[in-house]
Amino acid sequence: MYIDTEHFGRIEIKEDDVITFPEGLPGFEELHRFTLLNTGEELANVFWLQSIDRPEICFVVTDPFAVYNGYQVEINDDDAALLEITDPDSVLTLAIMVIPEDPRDIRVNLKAPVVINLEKKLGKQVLQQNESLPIRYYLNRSRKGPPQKVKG
Amino acid sequence: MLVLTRKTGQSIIIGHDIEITLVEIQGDQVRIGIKAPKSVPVYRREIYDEICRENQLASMNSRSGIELLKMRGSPDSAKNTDNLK
Repeated sequence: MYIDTEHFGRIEIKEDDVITFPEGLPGFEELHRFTLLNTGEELANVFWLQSIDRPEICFVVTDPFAVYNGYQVEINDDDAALLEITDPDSVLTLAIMVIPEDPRDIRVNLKAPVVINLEKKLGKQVLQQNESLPIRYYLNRSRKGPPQKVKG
Repeated sequence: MLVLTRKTGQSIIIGHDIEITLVEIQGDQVRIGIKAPKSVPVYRREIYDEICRENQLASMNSRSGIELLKMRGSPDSAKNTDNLK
């Protein structure tokens, strides 16, 4: 099938490239089909989680393990069952980025990573119980002290 | 919504395996203890709402911001691509 995306124009998506999110994403519960795009080039570690159902929706995602030292993801039994995880090696964990105009506001959501079983093509945004993980982890701000929080 | 009155130390059972205990009251703050199976996710309402809001913002990334990101590359791009298979 072909979809007309905002950032990449018309792209072809093969059945094999479709990742199903049975529960959608928080705030986007109706979106169940995504595909993962990699523009390659200089953008190492940054990928695009492109909605198939609504081609104008595309999340920028990155490798949370690369941006946050000692990052850990916990997946409970129910989520592991939903994602049909049998082999931990087939699990890909990505964090959703927010990229506003001001580069100082570029941030990564470490509290709710997207977990994808690449083998079964199943995904879910998995909220972490770990209280220390920030929803907004700013990439271009000073790292002195604990991760910063935004008011309001 | 069902509203129940409880005193400190008293509990509510939901289903067979979820127990909510009123631990302490201090002014307008209430400490609540929750006993639930590991498979039942428990979140503060505002955390979930915040995730929804952040997802909304993430779906509206600015074009100029993305161009900028392309120019700069990701901050730790060299570190680890191992987990992408």
